[in-house]
Amino acid sequence: MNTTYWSWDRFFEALPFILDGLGLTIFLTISCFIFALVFGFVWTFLRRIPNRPFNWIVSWVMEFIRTTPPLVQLFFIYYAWPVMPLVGTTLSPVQSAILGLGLHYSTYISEIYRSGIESVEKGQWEAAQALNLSTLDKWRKVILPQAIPPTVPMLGNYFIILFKEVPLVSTISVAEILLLANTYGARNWAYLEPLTIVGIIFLLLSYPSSILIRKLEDRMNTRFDKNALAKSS
Amino acid sequence: MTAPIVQYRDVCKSFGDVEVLKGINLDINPAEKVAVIGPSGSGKTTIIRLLMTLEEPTSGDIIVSGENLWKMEKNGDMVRANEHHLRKVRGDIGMVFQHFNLFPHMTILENCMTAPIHVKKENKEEVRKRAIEMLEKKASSLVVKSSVSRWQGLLSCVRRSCSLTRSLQPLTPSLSARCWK
Ligand SMILES: Nc1ncnc2c1ncn2[C@@H]1O[C@H](COP(=O)(O)OP(=O)(O)OP(=O)(O)O)[C@@H](O)[C@H]1O
Ligand SMILES: [Mg+2]
Repeated sequence: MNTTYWSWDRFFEALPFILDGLGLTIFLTISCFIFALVFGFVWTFLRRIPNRPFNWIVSWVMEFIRTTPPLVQLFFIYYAWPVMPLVGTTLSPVQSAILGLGLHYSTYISEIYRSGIESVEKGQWEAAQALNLSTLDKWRKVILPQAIPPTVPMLGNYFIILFKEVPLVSTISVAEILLLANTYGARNWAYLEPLTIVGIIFLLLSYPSSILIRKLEDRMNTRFDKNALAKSS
Repeated sequence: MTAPIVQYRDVCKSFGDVEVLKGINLDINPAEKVAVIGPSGSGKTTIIRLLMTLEEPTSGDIIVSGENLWKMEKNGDMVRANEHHLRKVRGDIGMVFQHFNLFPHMTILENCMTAPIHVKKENKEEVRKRAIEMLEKKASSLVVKSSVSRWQGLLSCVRRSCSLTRSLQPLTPSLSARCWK
């Protein structure tokens, strides 16, 4: 019956066991995020290709990815994809995790990029055209440097949300902190301490990050207010 | 008598149902200065935007240095210009926008250096020297040193000079020198 009570001994026994998976959790967060940042661009530019049917397909695929649960996508990639004819390949749990979560989040990130791009004034596109910049230079030198910085706080928010979603991949046997906590719990018939540890780890990492992002947001706001002020004068 | 450098031939422009330009005919000779005067909404900006290839005429031709801006020859026919043709003919046209449209994330100097470096592939140091010289003469030496966050507070007449400098920088030197007088 002593399992129902909190035990500090168990807490300190479980702690190193679980912390072993923290590196993997962080690695997955960063890898998935990078994947999403890159693929977000791919979606954004695919959607800008001026071809109706193609646009339709791209929007539909994105909508499909965005509106189906990431857990289902992870299961699909890990369990169903390998048995698909022709295209099917077996991916390791970590590869499946990066592909699954990264792809899912890339659709959100793409939406953020799009809002950033749309917030660049029409006059900036015209000025770039009047200076005869090539399409590539127009994007590299004029549009993206103005479109992306204001979206940084939003991207940061998604980074934290993604971090908190990483435990999903414990379901496809990636040994991150939640899976290790569960393993510890099953072995010792004690879930209270290991799961508390997981909660504390997430709190300790997410909370300071969200404060950091709020600071960043404030700084961005003052910067853009200043610009608006100068423009109106 | 030299040939006109810019010719408008029966140029019409409509926005939807709104007919803004109804058959403009206009010759502009080299070194000639032309002022277009008219009430607000009469189409002055539209005339210059057509020349800058920011708008496509509904009908008619605009010819600059003998080249038709919006049409090109393809297998003996005149067809609608593609992006490649537009980039070629646009090279010696410059424009100052009503609101200047300077790039807010760059310094004034970078604004003036972007096109010569990336479009004309000119040497960076030479471009910098030329831009500084022009800015100091026409705007103010302060402008050259202004940081990105500071220059936007400049007076609008100064920003206009900066915008003019930016539009002249990538042009053929003899042409930009003439505009500069
Ligand atoms: N992109 C557009 N779409 C629809 N209508 C337009 C567009 N651009 C201009 N117009 C219309 O064309 C007309 C002429 O506009 P334009 O800007 O050329 O006038 P303007 O002579 O420059 O006026 P102002 O002296 O106020 O600058 C206006 O009635 C305007 O509403
Ligand atoms: Mg006007």
